[in-house]
This record gives sequence, C-alpha cells and structure tokens, in this order.
Amino acid sequence: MNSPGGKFIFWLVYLLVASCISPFEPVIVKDNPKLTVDGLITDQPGPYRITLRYSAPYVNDETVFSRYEANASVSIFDDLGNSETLSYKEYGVYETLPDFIGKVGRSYSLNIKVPNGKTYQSQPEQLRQTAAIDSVYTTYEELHGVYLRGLFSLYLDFSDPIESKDFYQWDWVHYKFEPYCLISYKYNRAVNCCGPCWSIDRCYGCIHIQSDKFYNGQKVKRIAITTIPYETKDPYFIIIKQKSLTESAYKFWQSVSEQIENAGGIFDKPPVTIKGNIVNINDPTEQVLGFFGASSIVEKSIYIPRNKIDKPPFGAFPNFQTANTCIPCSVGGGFRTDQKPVGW
Amino acid sequence: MVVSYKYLKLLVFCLVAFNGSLAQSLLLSGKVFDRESKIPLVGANLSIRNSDLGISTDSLGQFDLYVNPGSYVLSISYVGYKSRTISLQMDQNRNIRIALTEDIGVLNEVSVSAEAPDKNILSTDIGVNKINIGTISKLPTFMGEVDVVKSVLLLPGVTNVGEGASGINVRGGNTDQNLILMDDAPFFNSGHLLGFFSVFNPDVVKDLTLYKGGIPAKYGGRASSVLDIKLKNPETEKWSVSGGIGLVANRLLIEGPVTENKLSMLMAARISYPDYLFRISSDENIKNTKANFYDLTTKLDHQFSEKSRLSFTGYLSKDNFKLSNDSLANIEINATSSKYNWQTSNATIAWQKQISDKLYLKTSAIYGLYETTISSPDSSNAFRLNSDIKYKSLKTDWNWYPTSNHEVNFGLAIKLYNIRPGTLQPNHSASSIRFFEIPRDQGIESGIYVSDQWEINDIFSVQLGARYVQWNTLGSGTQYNYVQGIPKTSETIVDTLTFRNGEAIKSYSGVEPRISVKMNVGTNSSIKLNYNKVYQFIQQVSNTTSAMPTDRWQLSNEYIKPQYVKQVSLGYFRNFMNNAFETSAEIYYKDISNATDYKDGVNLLLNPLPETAMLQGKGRSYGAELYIKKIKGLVTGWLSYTYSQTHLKINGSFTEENINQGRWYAANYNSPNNVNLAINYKSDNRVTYSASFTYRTGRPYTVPEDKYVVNGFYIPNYIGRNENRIPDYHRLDLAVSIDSNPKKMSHFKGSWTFSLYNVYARKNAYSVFFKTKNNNYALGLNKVKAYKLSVLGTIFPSVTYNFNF
Repeated sequence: MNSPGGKFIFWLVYLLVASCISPFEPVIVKDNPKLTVDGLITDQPGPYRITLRYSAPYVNDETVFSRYEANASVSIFDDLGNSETLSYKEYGVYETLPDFIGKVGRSYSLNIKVPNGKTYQSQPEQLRQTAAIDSVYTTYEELHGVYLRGLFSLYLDFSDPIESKDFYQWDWVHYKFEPYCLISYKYNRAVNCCGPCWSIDRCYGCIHIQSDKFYNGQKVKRIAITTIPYETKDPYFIIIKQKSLTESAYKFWQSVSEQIENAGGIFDKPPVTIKGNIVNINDPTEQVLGFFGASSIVEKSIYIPRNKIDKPPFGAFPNFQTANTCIPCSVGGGFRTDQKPVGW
Repeated sequence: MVVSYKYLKLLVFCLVAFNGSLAQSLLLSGKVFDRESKIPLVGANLSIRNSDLGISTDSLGQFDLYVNPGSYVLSISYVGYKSRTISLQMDQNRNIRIALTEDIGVLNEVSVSAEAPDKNILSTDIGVNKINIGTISKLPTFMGEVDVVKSVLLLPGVTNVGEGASGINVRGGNTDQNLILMDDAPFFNSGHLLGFFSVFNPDVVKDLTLYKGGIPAKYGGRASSVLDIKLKNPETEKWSVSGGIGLVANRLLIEGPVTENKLSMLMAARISYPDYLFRISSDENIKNTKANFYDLTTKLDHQFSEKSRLSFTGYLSKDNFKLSNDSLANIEINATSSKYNWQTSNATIAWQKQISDKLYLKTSAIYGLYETTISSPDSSNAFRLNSDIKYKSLKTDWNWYPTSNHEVNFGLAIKLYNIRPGTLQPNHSASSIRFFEIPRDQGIESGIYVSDQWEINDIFSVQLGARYVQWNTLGSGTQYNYVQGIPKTSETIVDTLTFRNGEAIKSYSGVEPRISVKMNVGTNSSIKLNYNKVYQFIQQVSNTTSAMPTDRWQLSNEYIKPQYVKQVSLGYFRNFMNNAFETSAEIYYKDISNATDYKDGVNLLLNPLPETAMLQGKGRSYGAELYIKKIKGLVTGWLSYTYSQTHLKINGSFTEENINQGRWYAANYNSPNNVNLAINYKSDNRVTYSASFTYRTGRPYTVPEDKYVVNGFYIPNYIGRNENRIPDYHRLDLAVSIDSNPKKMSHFKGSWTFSLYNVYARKNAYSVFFKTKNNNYALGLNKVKAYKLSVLGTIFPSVTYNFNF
C-alpha cells in the first residue's frame, strides 16, 4: 500500500465509509428548568439516595450539577401503606435511614413536595427478584499488537425463570490495591498511601440491559460483561452485579441508551422525548425528567488469575523512589476507598 | 449543414468523375434510416474500406457514390447508432436501403423519437418526466456506477434524505409510496450497498418514466408516484457483447438472435467487489466490513408474427453487508457482529397481441420475491432473522382506438401479497435464543380501470379515467381486539379472533378518479389540469431516518388503514424556438390520508402488535415546479426549481397517540427549496462533457431543549419534533466521456468515462446530532457538543471503461 494510488484509494474509501463528523453550532434554546429525579431503591443495605436537580439548557456550558432542589420534602411509600421520609444531605441529595431496606415483591413510589406547592409522584415500581448468577468465567485471547500481550473476556451465565417477563441490567466494579497515592512517572517518584487503599473502576457510560423476550426460560450463556487487559500477572478483582428491572425501567434505559449512542447515522432513529415515571399529580402535562427505580441485586466477585498465562505481559512497572510522607487514600475522591471491598 | 453536404457530395462526385474518365463508374445510391421509426438519418457516414472514398447522407438520409466495378466493404456509422458493414459486389448500379439500430448502450446520447416534438404541449401528460438511458449514462456518477434511480433525483419534485439513503421522496411522499416497476415487476428495495447504488443494471435499461402527478389509470397501489423502468429488447440482428470495468463493479451484457427474426435474448450481469477497498483501511471496524452485491438480468423475446410476441424478463440480485461491530439494540439482542442480506428475484411473462388495427392487448404474469436476513454468529446469542415478501400478480391491459381521436385503455390487475414479517431462530448449538415468529400476513389487491384519451378538438383534449380498487386482508391470521377508550397496548387486548387460511379478515375498497384536461393556448403552449386519487395497502414500517433494506413491510388490516392521496395539479407548458426548449410550470396540492408515523421510542422489528406502535394521521404537501429543458443542439439538459412543503399531523384520541401535541410538523424529508441542473455538451462525435448541480434546503431535525443527569448518564431532552433545519445541501458533479472513434473500422469499441462527484468537496450535512461525554463521570464536565455528519464529504473521482463488440 505504498503506491500513491493505493493511498489515494484508501482515503477515498476511508472518507466514504467513516464519513466525516465535524462540530456544528446549533440553535440556542431558551432556559426552561425542569425537575429531574434520580434515585433507586434496592434489596441491598441502604442508605438509598434520591437526587433532585433541575435541567440546564442543552448547549449551555453550565453543568447540570449546579441547579438542585434543597428544600423539598421527599418520602418513599410502598403498596402496604408504609412510608419512609428522607432527610436532606447536600447538593440536592436526600437519604433514607440506614435500617430501611427494600423488600422483594413490594411496589415503591416516590413522593416529592417542592416549596412552591407542587407535588410530584412516581408510578409504583415493583422490586422484583432477579435470577441468580450461575457462573462467571473468562476466556483468554492473545493479541497481535505491541502494547498488550492479551485480553481476558469476562462472561456470565444465568437461568432465566420461565413464568415471568424479566429484564436485566449488568454492571461491574473493579478494585485494585494501590501502594502509592501519588505517582510522578516523569520523575520516577511516588508517595505512599497512609493506609490500605483501593482504586475503583466502573463502566462509565455503559448501559448493559436485556429483556428475556427471545430467551424466556432458558439457561442463558456467555453474557459478555467486560474485557480485562493482560498487563501484569497480578490477580484482577472484579465484582459483577446483576439487577432486575421493571418493564418501564427497561424501556427508559433502552431509550437513554439509544439516545446517547445516536450518531446521527443513516439508520439511527431520530431522537425522541424520553418519558420518565414521575408526574406532577395536579398537572400531568408538566414534563418531569428522570426515573425512580426499584431493583434487586445479586453479586458475584472473582479474582481473574492472570498468572496462569505462560507468556509474560509486555512491560513492567518501574520501581519508584518513595518520599517519606504519605497521602490519605480519601484524596482520590470517588475513585478510591480505604474500606476493604467485600469479597477481597 | 445541408449545403455543406451538397458541397461534399459535389466534391466527391468530382473526384469520382475524374476517376471515372479512366474506368467505367457505377452508381451506388441509397438511404440510411432508423430501424424502428424508419426516420431517415441525416449526416450518417459511409466509407469504403481500404479506400479514401466516403460520403455523408443528405437531409433526406440519401447518398450517391460512384465506384469502379468490384467487391467492396461499405461501413455505415451514425452517432448514437450501432455501426454496420455491408459487403457489396458492384457489377451494376445499385440502390440499397440501410437500417441502423439505435445503440442503447454506451453510445446513445441521441434519441430519435417517434413522438411528435411538441408532444409535451399537445398531450394531457402532467407531472410526468421521461429520461432515456442515453441521457442517464452521460450524467456524472458516484464511483463510476451509472445510476438509474439517482438520475431521478435531478428531476423537479424529487428528493431524498441524504447520500446513502435508500429510496426517493416524490412530491412530499414517503419512500414507500413509490411504485418502482421494471418490466411490470415491483421492487421493494431499489438500493445496492444500503442505498449507495441502484439495483438496475444500466446496460439493459431503455428508459424510465416518472409519474408524480397525472398517474395513468393503469397503475395503482402506491400513493405518490410510479417509476416505470423499461428494459430494452434484445438485439435481433447479430450477437454482441458489451460491458464495463469500474471501481466498484464490473458489467457484462451478451445479446443476440437465438433463431433469426423469431427468438432473441439478452443476459446481463453486474458484480461488485468493494471488499478490497474496505480492507485497505487501518480502522479495524472498517477493515472488517464486508459488502458485495451482484445482479443478473435476462430478457427473452419471441416474435410469433408481426402482430404477436411473447417476452420473459428475469431478474435476480443479492446484497451482503457485514458490519464488524454493532449493537442490534433494536431487536433487543446484543450482538458484536451482524450480517445483513437482501435479495430480489423477479420474473415477468408478457404476451402482446395486435388483435386488429384498432385493438391491442398485453397480458402479464408477474412473480416477485424479496427476502432479507439479519444474522449474528456470537455463540450465546447467535441468531438468524428472516423475513420476506412474496408477490404474485396477473394483469391484462387493452388499448382500443375506436376513432382517430379516442384512445381507450382498460384492464384489470390482481396482486397477491404474502409477507413473512420475521422469523427469529438460533444459529448455533450454544445459542440461548428461542424460536420466535410473527405469523405471515396475506392480502389481495384487485383493480379494474378504464380511461379514455379524447382529443375533442384542436384546443381541448381530456383524459377521463377511473380505477376501482378492492383490498382484502386474508387469513390465516389473528386479530386482537383492544379495550375501547384507552390506548392500544399488549395489556389492553380483550379478545382474540382467529381466521382460517384464505378467509377475509378485513376489506377496503374505493374509486380512484384519474382525470386530466388540456387546453391549447396559441400554437406552442397549453394549460393542463389534473386530479387523481390513489390508494395504498402496503407500507414499510421504519422509524429510522432512512429505511433499512431489512425493514419490515406491513399490509393494511383492521387497525392499519390504507393510505390514500388526493392530488390536484395545474400546469402551464410552453415550447420555444421550434421546440428546442420545453418549459413548464406546475403547481400541486396533495392531501394524504392515514399518513403513518410512530410512537416515541418503540421497537418495530419483531413487534407482534405493530398497531400499538404505529400512529396514523393526516399529511399535506404542496409546491410549485419550474422546469426548462433543452432537447436539441450540442448542449442539452435541464434546469429546475421546486418549492415545496410537506407536513404531518398526528392527533390521536389520547395524548400518547399524539406527535407534537397534535400540531402540524414538518416531515423528515421536507426541504422547501430545490434547484437541479443537468447539462450535456457534445463537443464532437467522441467527447461529451456533462455537469449536474443540486441544491436543496437542509431537512428538519430535532434540537434538545435541556440536559439532565440520571445515574451518571447525561441525557438530552428532545421536545418538538423537526423544528430546526440542518445546513443546506449543494453539490456539483462533472464528467467527461470519450467514445471510440466512430470512423474506426474495428468491431471492438471502447469508451472511457471520468467522473468527479462533489467537485468542491462540500461537507454536506446528512444529519446534526448531539453528544454528551459519558465516559468521564467524575469530572462532572457535562459539556455537550453538536456535530454534523457528512456521509460523502469529499470529492470522489472515478473512471469507468466500457466496451462493446
């Protein structure tokens, strides 16, 4: 492909197929803040958090975190008439008491009263039992690149119950033990953490959901969860979560997933208004954004034994010069924890 | 011109006369004419091989040539016609008649028409455009593929949503409202490689006619337009081979007589091989994309007598398209790699008979099969999803000329549709997918029509026509009844009715008037008025920007009402400069009933209850089309301007069944201003330059009003469908074609076409979309960006070599 003709054809085709995407200055729309609800109740220990914010104009540079509702009264009630009031924390976050735990089979609704007198309520969401995870396993594939020796693919098997219409969501969290809380690769120096510390990695921006529509009642095999790089022989610790969704939650997340993955392509669906499950009980025409969900969660944590591969991984971490001071683990914000993960 | 021929003749005569003084000269005289129309050919070149002798025909197509006695090989050539050679023994004076056959293939830029030059003024035709393949093949192309469907996009009133999109929008109609026929067989998909190329092999097409206004009564079934593509008849004189080599596909055509003057046939193939182009890419996703297509066309024509002939047309095409990485979220199965196939198999048998001087008959039997498959090889989710449409039709059309000023057409047609909406099955032993099937749909459409073309006097003529259509949805099948007074969902089914095979489930019927009136104003202009109504009982179910070739088709039933369009149009037609220029101005208004759109965020594929996802309402479309066409001279072509608006209004009984709160909104393909230019300049016998230019207003899109965050996902909030517009589209294409030297005596002729698509490399917007960065949660920077997607945002040069012998 060194001939000019070949290069020419390459660019021709690249531009044909990859087409081109360029920034565009869109129309500015007026600011019309709308209440946004974000919350989930599960059968796992709480506290559960409900966040109330207001939407921001889309093309504005303002972040959506700057507008929140701090003065609402928020409560969760179930189909037996039990009610739990949430208390306000900060930045629009309301929390349940730690001893309040969602029960499988109950239907939960959210009730919100905001200071201007409006009352909002969610549709009742049933907390449904999700199927057990049968097994979690990996396969290994050697790569032909120069940066990475190989890749593990992580899969999950489960048995879908035949009698019910089920919806699933998968998620994972990876913890890695960190000796250093600050690393300077440039100067080959590092600062130790003041105590045990783990870094946390999640699948940001992934919506992995499925309905059992086409495999109801089957033993479902090889649900692809994620891939793990073979960069060191250290075991890789990961917690896999399987959540139940209600049909309305499934539809909501499916619309969100389509919307955020929309690349304006020839065969993409034109964007649509995503309907949440919260309404103004006095004025059903008011648009309220967001979703209040109820899910049961099953988890499985595993270590992926990366030392079983014969060939060594490419590269090695340098030995850092360490300083005499230490940095507390909590400085990493939401990316680090000093609490030993469950199953570690 | 005539003077110069006479001069030339004189010159030749003088030369010959001079020779004649040395030996006895014999006179070879004769006439050259078009084989079909018998029109004399002016300026045809005749030459005697291995000599300097040559002559051109005069204004009557005649020639005289003096030669010495002996054996000669005479070559006759004429631009746009197949050259011939004739062996002659000159032992006495001879007068010969030479018929030349129009070259439908690569050389045909001149069309000798049997039609009167001012037919556009005198006929009642309104909203009709006809293009012959000569014009199409000289237009600039994309990647060198002469495209029959894309040429239609240069006509006024025709647009599409963007490059690569399949289908065309005619006068505000949806892409599924066009009846696309090739020798009477319908096409459910007209695109190869998604929609980048058309499925019709240009080597075998004779001409195409687009009816967007005054649709004749003999056509029915699709509400917006008829695109009638006619194949050429096979060559009856001798066997010939032609073909072409291009960047994307190769073509080969063989045609000739099987038995002299009785049976002739043609076979044409086109095979693509774009895979090698993808493989050059360094991008893994593109590298592993696999796409190829082929199509085969055959036609047999048997002439029993001057008055009776039987013809068979067969067509087969297949497309494979494999994406290396995608997520088939729309069928609720996550797949890492999916393969799409679609194929068309059509056959038409037609019997034409002249019963008397005044009565002609054509009876056809048509079979069509359109099949699509989506499959994924991932072991746990391996599946194959098949769907198909079977089409069987019988029709008979009669032409009767009772007096010289009446032409009466009548006939009937029966069309049977049998649709498999979708069968999902596991494709691997480890697959968890269960067999899932939506039962077949069946329906029958019957139509009977009569129309009279009546020339009342020198001023007025009318076309009075009507078609009566009857639709029956047939069993076996299931019809669900829903709770009254609330929106239809799977939860509100109260009753299930089952029907036996062949039992009528639901029927619709209606009368479709097709009326045109023409009034001459002076000698070279006329005013025409048309009203017509067309019902449509089958529609494509798709809520993506452009329909996929694999999208499902749905027949009318209890809940999905037939669409119908009523159109009124008014036109003024005027010719200038002895019919060298044709101009027209047409205005139209269309009223669309039961126009379809979809509820927000529904799944359509494998949905057993499409009526719960589809919404029907009203549509309206209106516009004005200005058209000027130059048909004579070295420069030919046309320029058109169209203003149009198309809006839909979906206002159901419940808020869930409204779009835009029940207000009028712009259709996806609404682009009000549209300018098209197509020009051919023939600089000499061999070289033709051509240019085409298109401008249209950007189509509508939806802008998000707000952004919000739920569970770490930044979500745009879109309200108000199609209230903004993407940037305007415009594009210039150029081409030059160099034909073989017509004076060359060799049987083998080659020609080159060089094309530039999108000459000034404009990054035309296909769409505008919005993205939030969802991969950097903790930073909290939910800045959003708007992007413009351009599908063919650069210049595409191409070269094609064509040959025939």
